[in-house]
Amino acid sequence: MNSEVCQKIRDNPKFAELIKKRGTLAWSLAGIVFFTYTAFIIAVAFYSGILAKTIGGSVITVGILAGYMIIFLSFISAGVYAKKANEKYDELIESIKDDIL
Amino acid sequence: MRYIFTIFLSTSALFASQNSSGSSSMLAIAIFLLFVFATLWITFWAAKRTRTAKDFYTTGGGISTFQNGLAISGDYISAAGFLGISGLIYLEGFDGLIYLVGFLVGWPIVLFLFAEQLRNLGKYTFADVVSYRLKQIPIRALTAIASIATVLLYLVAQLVASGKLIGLLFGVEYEIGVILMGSLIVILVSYGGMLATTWVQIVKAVMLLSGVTFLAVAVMGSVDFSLERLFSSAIEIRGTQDIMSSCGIFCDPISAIGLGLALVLGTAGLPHVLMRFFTVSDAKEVRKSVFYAIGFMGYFYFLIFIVGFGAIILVAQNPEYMNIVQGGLVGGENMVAIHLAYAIGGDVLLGIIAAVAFATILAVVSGLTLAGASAISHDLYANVFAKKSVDSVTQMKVSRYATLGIGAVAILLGIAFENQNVAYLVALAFAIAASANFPILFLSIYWKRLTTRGAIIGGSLGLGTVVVLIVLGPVVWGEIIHGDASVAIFPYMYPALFSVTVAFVGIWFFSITDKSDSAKKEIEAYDDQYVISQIGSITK
Repeated sequence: MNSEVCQKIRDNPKFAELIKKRGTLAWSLAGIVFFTYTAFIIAVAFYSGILAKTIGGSVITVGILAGYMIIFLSFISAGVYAKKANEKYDELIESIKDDIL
Repeated sequence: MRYIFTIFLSTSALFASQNSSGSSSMLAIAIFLLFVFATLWITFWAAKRTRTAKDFYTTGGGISTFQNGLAISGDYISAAGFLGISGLIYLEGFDGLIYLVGFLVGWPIVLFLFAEQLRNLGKYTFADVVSYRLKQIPIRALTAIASIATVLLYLVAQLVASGKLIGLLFGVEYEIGVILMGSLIVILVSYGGMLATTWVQIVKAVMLLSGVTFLAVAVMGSVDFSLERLFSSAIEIRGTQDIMSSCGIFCDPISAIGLGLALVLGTAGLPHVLMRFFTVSDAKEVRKSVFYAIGFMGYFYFLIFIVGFGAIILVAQNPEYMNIVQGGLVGGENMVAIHLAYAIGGDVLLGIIAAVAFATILAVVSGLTLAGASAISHDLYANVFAKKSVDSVTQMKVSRYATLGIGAVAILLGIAFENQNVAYLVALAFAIAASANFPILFLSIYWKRLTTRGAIIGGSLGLGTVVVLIVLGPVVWGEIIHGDASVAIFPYMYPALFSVTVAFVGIWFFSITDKSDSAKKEIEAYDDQYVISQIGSITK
């Protein structure tokens, strides 16, 4: 559509900053969640013995605890991203738009 | 609206007359009907009130972020999450948790990598996003077909649950339950239309969260609020530690990975879920509502695990709930939560929880049917076949026929899949979404080299593979066609590992070998698309 405007935005150092900062946070969080989950699934698939171990003197197993930890991690990481993006990165976007328009 | 209530009243009268041979008491049925009517009434009342303020469906005005978060979780937690998962936990314990984690974990990933990009690039459907720089017509045709396949299986799962539920409550045959529920949905969607979808989700989410909280608290009360006692009594009753770790249905690694992959990637490819990202006003709202939604869903999944284990303690030992002729539970494993409600609170709670389940099914199904019908009328008919602007009257007409068609096919499939766990059926819908929609969407946002040819060929290969493998797998080819799971041509229950790989490799290969002029233009257009996807439209 408006290639020139897009080119201007790409040339703006703030755009590079936005991509770098927000991208790093988004991809790291996605990586953390994805790899934790992958580890869980790999354990289910190949090492179910580890998940069947009980914790301390309780009947609760490592697997159940791990499952709940992942649910908790999903919630916390989503909160971190939403807060950071809404407070910091959106300001950066506004100032990029201010520069161009 | 009056029409709907008339239909409802006459069906309930029919049920009441059937009840002489039925299985539940009149009190349970009365409470069930009371709650169902109350839900519908609240929904219509709320929808009307909001509509006078502003057209919330397109702008998001009038719906708060908190409410939108509730609506997202209402859309997402289907009969599979409630009835299917509690049944699975009742049978297999820990294996149900694998589903729960998979259902949830896709959400943060969608939030980090897709949510704002979708919001920034799209208008109404995710096909808008994919066709931003690729060719409209073939892309819309493919994504519409994949969406219809996904929606259909998802719908079948809900109908299976409702057939069982209505059968259990009113003592009618399963097939009649499916047909009644299927018809009711078609009528509601084609006459109620868009009016109440968002409010149905909100009301239903609140009911479901309160219902499951009540069940979980009652279960914990019966074991003096000790998780330790809950789990150890369940182990004692089952006589095995197996319910505390995996190896019921997931002894085989390929299935475990296939399911894991389908659930996490499929979330980002479900058309009715993606639609929710376009109904809020800006990226800020999207992020906040997804965060709230993850909170609600995480809370629900935490409690449903307790409910499943509670059923082992309170339902499994009581011969009252057992089917003496066929073995297993009355109404099958999908009805565990309903039996648990009766065990805890008698007819009153049975009626309430059955109504909650009914509202869950109704809400999810109306969202799904709408998503399917709009894929047919908006993407397929208006953009692919007619190839010119179609007036909204014709589009509405097509949409109604589409609703009828989808309803009819879903009823037939629902009857065929009678004895399957509904969580498994939903997992198949996720597998389709993960194999066709997800790869195209992901690569169109993040991979510059993607071309129309690659997306179409690779996406079709993924879709074809997953459908063929489902049909040749243990459930369809085995149990349903030949009555024996071991004769299946394809041995694994969860085919996503293969079909997702096929899709990605196919898209990659047919994109990089595409040297056409149009491909060059599509690749060039990526840079601008990237800017828009990151910061949104360049206006103030």
